[in-house]
Amino acid sequence: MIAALRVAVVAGVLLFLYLPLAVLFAFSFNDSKYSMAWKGFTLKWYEALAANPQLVDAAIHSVVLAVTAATVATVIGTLGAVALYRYRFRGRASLSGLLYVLLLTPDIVLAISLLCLFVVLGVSLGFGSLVIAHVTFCLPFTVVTVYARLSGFDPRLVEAARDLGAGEFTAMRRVLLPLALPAIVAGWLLSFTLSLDDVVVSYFVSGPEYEVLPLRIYSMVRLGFKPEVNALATLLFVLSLAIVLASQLLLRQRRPS
Amino acid sequence: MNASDPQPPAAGGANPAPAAHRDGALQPPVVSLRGIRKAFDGKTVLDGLDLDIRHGEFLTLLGPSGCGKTTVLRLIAGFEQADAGSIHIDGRDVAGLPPDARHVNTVFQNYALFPHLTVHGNVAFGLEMKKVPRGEIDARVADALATVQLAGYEKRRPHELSGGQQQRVALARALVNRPRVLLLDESLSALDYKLRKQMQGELKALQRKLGITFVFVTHDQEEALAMSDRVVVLDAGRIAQQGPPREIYERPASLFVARFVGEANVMDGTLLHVQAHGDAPANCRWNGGTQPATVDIGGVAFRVRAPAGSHAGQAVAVVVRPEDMRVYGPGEPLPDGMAHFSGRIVERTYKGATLDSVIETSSGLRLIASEFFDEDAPDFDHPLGEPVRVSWVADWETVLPRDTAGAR
Ligand SMILES: Nc1ncnc2c1ncn2[C@@H]1O[C@H](COP(=O)(O)OP(=O)(O)OP(=O)(O)O)[C@@H](O)[C@H]1O
Ligand SMILES: [Mg+2]
Repeated sequence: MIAALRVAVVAGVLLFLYLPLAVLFAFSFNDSKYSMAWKGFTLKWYEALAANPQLVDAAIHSVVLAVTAATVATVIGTLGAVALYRYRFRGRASLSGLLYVLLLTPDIVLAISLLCLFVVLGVSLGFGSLVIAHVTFCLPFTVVTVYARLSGFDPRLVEAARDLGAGEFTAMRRVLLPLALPAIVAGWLLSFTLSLDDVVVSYFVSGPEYEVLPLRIYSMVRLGFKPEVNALATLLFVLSLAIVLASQLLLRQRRPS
Repeated sequence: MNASDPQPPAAGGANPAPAAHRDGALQPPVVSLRGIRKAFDGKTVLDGLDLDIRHGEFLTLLGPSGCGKTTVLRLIAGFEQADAGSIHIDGRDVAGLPPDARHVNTVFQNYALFPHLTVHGNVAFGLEMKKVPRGEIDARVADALATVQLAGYEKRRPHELSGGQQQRVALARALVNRPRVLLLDESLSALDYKLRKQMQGELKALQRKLGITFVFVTHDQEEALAMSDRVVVLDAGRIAQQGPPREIYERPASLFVARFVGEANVMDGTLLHVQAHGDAPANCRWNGGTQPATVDIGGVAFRVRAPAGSHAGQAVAVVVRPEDMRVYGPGEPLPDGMAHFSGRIVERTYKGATLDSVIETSSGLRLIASEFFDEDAPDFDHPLGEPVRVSWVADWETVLPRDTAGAR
């Protein structure tokens, strides 16, 4: 009785969470343009997707932007995390506090402030402004991810390396970097996903000549329902899922104690 | 350097001239600390520390938690810089020299083994940093692992090893570099009692075999006495006393040392009479600079040896180790004319090799006596409440002036 109830609750929650995705998934293969009824299996929406140059362009833009932003954010974030972990400097506490503030800032606030900044500084909106904006919201995530992993390790490890004759840089490269690697990769993947599906910030700071995928989809849907969008969303979902799984696996990798 | 060398046999400490004296006792100290001061956030941790570490010695820094032991090691290793004073390693001033440029290696308290490297990778690390050729690295790593009895463990990761094995890897990782000085920070404290005893022996044997200078930090006085050639007792950033273990234990220079190193009965008294000078009895443990005296402790007059310069009427503390106390039961005759307290047994603890009794004297003192079971008295016992008389082996006390004793 209790067991049956438990199964029912779990099933209900799963249904609530995943039914929309299942519907999306099914309709991306539905051979019908307007009807909501099942008309048979087809791959033509995926073909239509490939034949839509605007969409393909936007997709390429998005991927290029996500790779660039994730890479920049990961490099800066890793260096920042190492600095927070290894050195005691003035303003260290406020810096880590500010990172959390940034983590919790609503996207819309960030978007408007970045736009203001770009306007004030006369930065033209386009790829450059997008990269800066995406790095800004990815950075706290990479710092926090890498720092969390580093802080699990004995601070004496770097000292031990120094003691054995390694210079500061070599100690970082031979000890901290290998130890932090799973978190660095996870931080990159996280940033990549964040950047790929960002709408709010991109909406404010992108220019006409560099359109990104989420905005393209948004404008397509506004003009009327297109089954290609289902196909595209399905692809995006699969990609995100793969990335989330990969980062989870990396982060969960057992820490040698 | 030959025997007819005209150079005066300058004391090593006063003259840290590099490589001037290469033979035996005349050798300059490997490490020499002069007037070291170190404060953290305005709180003074080391306060004008002077210390010479001689080549090949096993030196132990002993002291309570927070007295600055680790800080001394970190200064020598180069992880911290002194606020004032100088450090010489092999006659060279190492101020500003980073850890990787110093000929010392550290065995960290929690080993700090690299978790992502194998045992081989850990031990080889220092040699790789020095760009030693691969073939030589492998040979030296194998040699170091054999020295710590870990041959065959090359491919393991640190987390696949027991605490004792990790400890040995940490030791091998440091020793493989053939350091001038090996710094060990509470390196045995994470091990269980039995393993610790075993590693103490192994460490000491290894040190003798390799002839490397060991600077060992511990807050375990038993460990310090068992392993060291010289013990340096630190108290709040200052050296309270230094010397061979036996001297530290038998001739504590202050009440702090007496209480910290081993157990001690500390009795307050007043000197009644101080004799100008006299020959120390043959069985006296120490006779340098002492004078026969009489001390009044709770109304009983004992004959003691007071430090030179004592005067009648002075307040002193008389320190006696529990195993030097003598307890006489109701039926036992006291040696002729032996001064003693009367009291009764208020606590008794069977310790296996000894019977520890707490005696409360009629004057209100609580004294601990530790008596060994031997062939003369294989099964003596002191029942609780038994009236006894207590004294100690003549001249095996230490008399300390009360004013320095009050320092801590
Ligand atoms: N990096 C630091 N920053 C601030 N205070 C420090 C630092 N290192 C040590 N101290 C302080 O200096 C004092 C001495 O520390 P130290 O580690 O040398 O003590 P210790 O004798 O090794 O003690 P223990 O037996 O507990 O290891 C302590 O009061 C400690 O709090
Ligand atoms: Mg310490």
